[in-house]
Amino acid sequence: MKSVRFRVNGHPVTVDVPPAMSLQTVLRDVLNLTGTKDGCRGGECGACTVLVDGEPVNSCLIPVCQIQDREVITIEAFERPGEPHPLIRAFAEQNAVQCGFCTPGMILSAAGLLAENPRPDRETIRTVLAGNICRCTGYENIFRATDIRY
Amino acid sequence: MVTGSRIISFSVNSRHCSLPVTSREMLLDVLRNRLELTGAKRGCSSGSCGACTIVVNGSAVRSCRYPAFKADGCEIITVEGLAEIDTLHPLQAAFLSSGAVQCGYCTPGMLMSAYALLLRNARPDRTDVRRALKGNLCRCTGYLPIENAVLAAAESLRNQTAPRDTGWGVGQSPWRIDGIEKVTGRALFSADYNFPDMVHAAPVWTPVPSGRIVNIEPNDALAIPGVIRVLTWKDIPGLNAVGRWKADRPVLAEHAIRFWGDCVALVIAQSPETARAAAGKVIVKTVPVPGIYSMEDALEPGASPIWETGNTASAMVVKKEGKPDAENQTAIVEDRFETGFIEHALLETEAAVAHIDSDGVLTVIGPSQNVFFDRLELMRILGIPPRQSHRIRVIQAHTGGAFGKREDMIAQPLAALACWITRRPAKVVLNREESFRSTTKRHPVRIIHRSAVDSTGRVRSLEIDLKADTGAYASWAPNILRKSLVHSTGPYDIPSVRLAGQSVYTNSAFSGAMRGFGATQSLLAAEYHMNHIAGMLKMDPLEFRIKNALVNHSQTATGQELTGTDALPPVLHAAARRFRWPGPARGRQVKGNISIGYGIAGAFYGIGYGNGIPDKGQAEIRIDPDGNAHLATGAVDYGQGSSTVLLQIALETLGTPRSSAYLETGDTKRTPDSGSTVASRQTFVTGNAVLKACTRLKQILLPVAADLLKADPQTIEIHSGKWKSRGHGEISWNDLISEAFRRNLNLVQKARYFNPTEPLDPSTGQGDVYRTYAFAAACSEVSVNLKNGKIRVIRMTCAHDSGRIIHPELAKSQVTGGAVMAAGLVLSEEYRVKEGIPQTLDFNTYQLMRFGDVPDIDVVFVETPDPLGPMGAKGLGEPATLAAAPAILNAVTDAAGIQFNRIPVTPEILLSKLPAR
Repeated sequence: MKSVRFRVNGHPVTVDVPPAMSLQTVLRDVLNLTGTKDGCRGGECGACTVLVDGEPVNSCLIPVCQIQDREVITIEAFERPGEPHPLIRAFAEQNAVQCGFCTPGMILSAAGLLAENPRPDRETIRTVLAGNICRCTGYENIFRATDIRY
Repeated sequence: MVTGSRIISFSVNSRHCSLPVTSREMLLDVLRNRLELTGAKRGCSSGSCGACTIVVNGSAVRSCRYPAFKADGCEIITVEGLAEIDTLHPLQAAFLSSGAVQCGYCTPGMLMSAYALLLRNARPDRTDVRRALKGNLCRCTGYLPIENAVLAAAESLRNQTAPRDTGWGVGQSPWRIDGIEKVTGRALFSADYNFPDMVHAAPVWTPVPSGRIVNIEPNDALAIPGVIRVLTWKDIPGLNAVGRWKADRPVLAEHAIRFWGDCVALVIAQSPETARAAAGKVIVKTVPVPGIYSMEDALEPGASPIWETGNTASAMVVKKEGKPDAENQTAIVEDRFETGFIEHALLETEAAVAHIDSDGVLTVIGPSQNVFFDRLELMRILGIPPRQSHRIRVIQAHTGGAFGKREDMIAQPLAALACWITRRPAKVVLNREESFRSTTKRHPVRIIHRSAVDSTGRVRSLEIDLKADTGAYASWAPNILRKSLVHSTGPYDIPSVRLAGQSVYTNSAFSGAMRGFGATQSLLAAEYHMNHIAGMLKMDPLEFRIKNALVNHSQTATGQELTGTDALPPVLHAAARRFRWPGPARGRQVKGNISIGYGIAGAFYGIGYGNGIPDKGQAEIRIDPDGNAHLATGAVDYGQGSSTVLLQIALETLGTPRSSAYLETGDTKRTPDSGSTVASRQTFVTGNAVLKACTRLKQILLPVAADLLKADPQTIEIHSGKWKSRGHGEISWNDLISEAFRRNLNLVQKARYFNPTEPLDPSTGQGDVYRTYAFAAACSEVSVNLKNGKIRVIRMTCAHDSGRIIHPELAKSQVTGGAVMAAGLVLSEEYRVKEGIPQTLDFNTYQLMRFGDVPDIDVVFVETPDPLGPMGAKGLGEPATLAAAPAILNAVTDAAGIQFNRIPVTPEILLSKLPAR
């Protein structure tokens, strides 16, 4: 067991877990933040994408010991009372959500991109979101939602 | 590891556990909070109710007072460990077969006390059972069904058999629908729910019974680690008020303090212990305001008003002028009768949890008598606008007793606020003292009777002046006053009546609904008065009652003509016959210090809301392709058994096998509104809705059955799960449904039953106020010890005409429970308040009937099918207390040879009134 300290969505947390446990498992099973999804555990589908120090990562591939003292943002950070987050609003308005399972990962990947490049062109969006698989929408609406840039 | 803790090891239900405990931790805390074994219940935390009983090394112990470290190396059995995977322990089965389970909150403790008894004594007799279970309180069953269950279980253990479930026909007594959950400890009551990341909230109470708040100082509380917020009235997003008839009781008091139960602030913390500790650190500064602690003071001219509208919450009159019959009037009889506050003493204290669903819906889980009323009030408090009721969902948890108290929410608004504001799941659980101080009580009344009686023994006219103390808030004051007054003549045909009632505000407590809804007190007083008249006329009390009884086509006090019922005489005769009423020859029998007396009384009770209040029941039934019948109704069952009865009505109508039927209740999201579970109305009102929905479905299925059987639809009968026609054989439910689906028939039916009544004329109080009335009569034999004042009810007979009885064991359990509650009312219970400060805040000072105090109770049902009731049924829940209480009081009067015009008649009071010997 190892004690790992980091921040999740602005709150400091400390977990006592096996050091090799994935960040995904810690988020979902230890911290009960189940917005981050479990799709493949192999870094192939992107459903588990979260931001670590602003960088989108597949949380299923990251051992939690590597997160010591770092800042993690999950989909739960996007929930706020009143006016929805612009990216959430864009996803809703552009019908970029069907079953919703890829959505948290998509939004985190898009958020990571927009933080770095507020005006990406369509090609950049395609390239950056290439690691996130969606089986429902055919991607077009997701790209458009990311492109809206409220 | 926490400092000061040590690791202990023990086995629970054959599983090994090892964990650190502190010296302050009780075994109940460890079981419930750390091992998630929530079967053992918390009722008092002082070892006086027995709900937490478990078995440690073969002995029954109160786990709420048993330090956890003492369990080191012990073998523990809890209610969860009684059953083998799918097989109930014979005790559990016997509890279900004997009607020993109602609300189910005392059940785990009862079972474990009984289990420990049977471990050491395979052949217990009644005395052994009573001795072993005397520390376990039950508020629903009257103990006798439990006693019968333990004796039956002992026998089946000896014979290696087990009681089995019966058929589900109307008139049979199957295991109640929620029974297995309740006897295995799986049934979740509000405090048993837990959610991840949950916060806990504890109330801060007023330091004075009457005053004004100057300042609330939360900083000391906020400084405690783990404290999240301290809420005051300023944090309430919507209307700061609870109350269905009148939104007058603040969730968190703003400026005025009106009684000892006002909640001033709410501390939200990470743990319940922290929340409680911090609640004690919130400083509430008040200026005292002189309180009004009696109805007399409240009505004194110039008395300071508790509310701007004055100190009268409600007033009404009932006037009926009969033919003058002056020449024959002989005697005028006057009486005055008083009662005090009575506590419901629900074994489960107030508790609720709230959480926000993934779709943003606030879900509140709590005890309830009407989830739809609760939802409306919670919306108002949270500022959710009308017509957005989907944003809040109220689900009834298993409810540990109700008897009217659950009509006024206490914990739910607090849990909902804590969750709404922190956006985290939140839980509130009141302790026993908080429950006593903050919740509704039965109204104290002062009733003055003045009767004119003719020489034949007929009461010609009756004047009544009734005053009821509603305390600081109204709750259902006008409705309770109405029910009180409408029934205040007793079940008698009195040509002229003048009844005046007034409900008065005081700062003493907070009165609301309690079993009988005001009629309990007025019927008790009426029967006290009638007994007095019979005594003066030297008439046999039975004969006097028969002479004056309501019969078919009699008029009640409100001028309502009774039809389709034989009313009072059949139940009076049935009770008297079974009891072997001693008749006119009886006399007070004194042997040494012991005097034996007999009492008789009758009662009637209007079923349903009455008075033109919209009284609707709704039911939905849906058949799935596999033949499963899904029935839904908003009617909540808090133990009295409506769910079981409603399912019986459905199964009887459709012939669906029990294993293929499911009933969902009490969830604003999933079930249709069926009104409150009050006024003994659910069997009658929702029962009719269920019958209607199922009958519609049956009409759809009949032609299918007729085709399959090649028979005339008229000839088809449904019997024990088969649709049959004489000479044409039978078909099974499954074959019938398969064929109906093949034909694409609509097997979803909804129905509404409306129970129409008339509002009383406001100036005369006349009108057809209830649709139907139940009748009851009781006889009682009581012994009084003239030396030490001890009163013992020896035996009772309770006769009820509640129409056809759907489930005899549950009905009997209602009646025995009602009779024992009545005995407590007359002999021991009173919530005493001195200058606004309650003196009875636990089960040692508020004395309930215990196992050993219970008389033999013989229950008789006079089943006159009600023409309007579903399958002839009416209501029973409240009538169960109504005749029993005056029968006991009249027997005490008879045995002591003096009248007691105030209850309870405790040994001290009895001795003080007895003439010196």
